[in-house]
Amino acid sequence: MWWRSPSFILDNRQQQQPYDTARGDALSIPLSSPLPPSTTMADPNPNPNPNPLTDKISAYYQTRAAHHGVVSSDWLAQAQAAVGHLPEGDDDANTTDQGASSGKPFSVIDEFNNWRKQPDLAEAVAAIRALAAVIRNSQATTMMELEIELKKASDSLKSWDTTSISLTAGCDLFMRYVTRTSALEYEDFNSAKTRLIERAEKFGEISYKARKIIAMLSQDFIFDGCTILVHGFSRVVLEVLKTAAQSKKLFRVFCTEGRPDRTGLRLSNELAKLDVPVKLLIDSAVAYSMDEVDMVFVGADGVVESGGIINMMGTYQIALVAHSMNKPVYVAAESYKFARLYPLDQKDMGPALRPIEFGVPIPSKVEVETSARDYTPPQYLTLLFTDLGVLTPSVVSDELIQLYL
Amino acid sequence: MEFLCTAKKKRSFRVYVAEGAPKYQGHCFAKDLSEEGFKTSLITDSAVFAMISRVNMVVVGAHTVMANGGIIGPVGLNILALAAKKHGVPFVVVAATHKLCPLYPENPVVRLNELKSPSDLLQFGEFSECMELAPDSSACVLNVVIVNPAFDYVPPPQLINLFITDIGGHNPSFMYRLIADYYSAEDLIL
Repeated sequence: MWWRSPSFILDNRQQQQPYDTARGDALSIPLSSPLPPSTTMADPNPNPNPNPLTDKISAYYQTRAAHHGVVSSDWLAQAQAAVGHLPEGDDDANTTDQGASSGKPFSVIDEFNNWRKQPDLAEAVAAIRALAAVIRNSQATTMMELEIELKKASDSLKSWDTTSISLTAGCDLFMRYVTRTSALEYEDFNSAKTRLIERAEKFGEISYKARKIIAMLSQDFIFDGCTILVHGFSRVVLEVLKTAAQSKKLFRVFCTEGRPDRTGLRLSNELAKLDVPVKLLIDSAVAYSMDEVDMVFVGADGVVESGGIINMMGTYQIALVAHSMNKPVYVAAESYKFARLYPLDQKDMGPALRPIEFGVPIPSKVEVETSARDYTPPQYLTLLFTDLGVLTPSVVSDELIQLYL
Repeated sequence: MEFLCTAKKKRSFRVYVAEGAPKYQGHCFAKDLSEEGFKTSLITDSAVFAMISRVNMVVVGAHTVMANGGIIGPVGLNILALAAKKHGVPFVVVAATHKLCPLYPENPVVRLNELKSPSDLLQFGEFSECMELAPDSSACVLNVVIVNPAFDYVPPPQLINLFITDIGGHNPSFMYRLIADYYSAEDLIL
């Protein structure tokens, strides 16, 4: 749901009214989610902005900040606390495995959260594993019941965080992949269930291995002596660069700082460990350094039907600059991120907000643009590296049809 | 050539041929065309931008068609494509399906180009004028470096308007489909 009006005065008047209704809005993320708050939230928010939209803080980006934020002492303390939770989570899964009727009922959200806490695992893969666990732990005795349970679990996962595109797309694709099989024609329910579990595990494996495939495909495009500009902390892009570094290619990387998540700092840490020469740029310095750059590499939060991508705020800007200077923009995205969306402009997607702190208190009348992501149209992208192969943006809609049909 | 001959049966038109240094194959082509009865004009490569406003369409052949719809062709093609784009002239590529290639042009300047002998540009006799003897050795040092690339890469999608293949006319963004049809998936993932 999006709203925009030609006049910001009207906007302001409207803001006063839905302030009360936003509290009861089903879309607002419950703040009691079992999630260690990120470092930026740990600081007392110096911005006393009575903006009702702060209720809808995107949990997806909170997670990413939690995974990718620079380690600070607050974070370490929270990490210790989180590790303390983890063994209990495993016990829960074990007891329900044995079909014990005591103990709390199997919750897909809990399972999902357990998987999600591993920083190496993409969110959609965590969701897929959680859904596979749903099948395993299901008490259903007929196929219909199992499918309904699966659908319910998938819906609850999707509604847990409505802003995450890869989560929604991953759940949808999982449902299609698993249930669209002729093996469901078995008379014996148990063997059909086993078959479903096998397919679910296989899908999880494919998604997990997608990063390696993408890294392999993109090796040809990194030549000796090239300069790569990277934006946002994408684990896929990191894998690509790691593989290139390990095959002894000589290249250097420019990292944008990536406010407010400090993704650039984190990425430059990782690259420094690989002995790749890294240079940090503030986000505004991209156009300044673009002439030295040979190619731009970004990941994606979601790939949409038009062939464009949704990624961290700032990607659109960089793509525009690269396009105007004739530099190729390469996107590395796994296939489960392909979503059935077609945004027509920047505000067409649901809002995903991140609190931004400026370090100094801001007067309450000043608004802050806190959106965490933007949409890059396909004409500014050169190629997409996916586990389905190397694609041009115009091919994406074809692949989407094949995936979703 | 065949393309133009078949077209001649239905329409009448002038043909401008760029001479295509350093091989000057344009000269032979223009001669063949005039023997077939076309109204032909021969221009130098540098005159392409000047003459482009007088033409309605640019037709070229290609050496290969890449997976993203770009083409590799004889050197000078990129200039022609840029000139056509600037003046809004349609750029049509005539290429049969046996020219399709599943590779993507990663770094076309380096990877997909061949440097040919500089003798095309400069006669060996003239070399001696460019060389000078290094004071402390008897070897000859060449003062001038001669680069003679054989191929040119034309990037889609802005520059190429239409592909004419033996199975019909297509958009450059459709080329990947033909490649997927003609090549098996194992060929595509290198």
